Amino acid sequence: MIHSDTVISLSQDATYQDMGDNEPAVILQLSTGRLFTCNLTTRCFLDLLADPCSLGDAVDQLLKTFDVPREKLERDLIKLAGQLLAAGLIQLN
Amino acid sequence: SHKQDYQEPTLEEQE
Repeated sequence: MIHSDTVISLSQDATYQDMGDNEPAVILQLSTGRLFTCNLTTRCFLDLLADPCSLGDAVDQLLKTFDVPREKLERDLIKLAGQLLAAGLIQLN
Repeated sequence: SHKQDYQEPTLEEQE
């Protein structure tokens, strides 16, 4: 179970490309060729995972960018991290 | 500083 102290990073098997400043991104899983699309919120989250980062730190950083209550953002990012982990796009550190 | 409007994060697998 992912929680605020869980440290995660982008998988070495995944790469993503944004579509411009403040734009969504496409994510490619290199070993399988699976392709994903995501919105700006997910992209900003991935930007923070180039190096290992705790989920709580990611919440702190994104609170500076988005107008959203902390509890809401943390809940959404825990759910998102679970999806990314299940898809093999991020890894636990 | 001005913050951006928030949208719930999405992740969709494409064909």
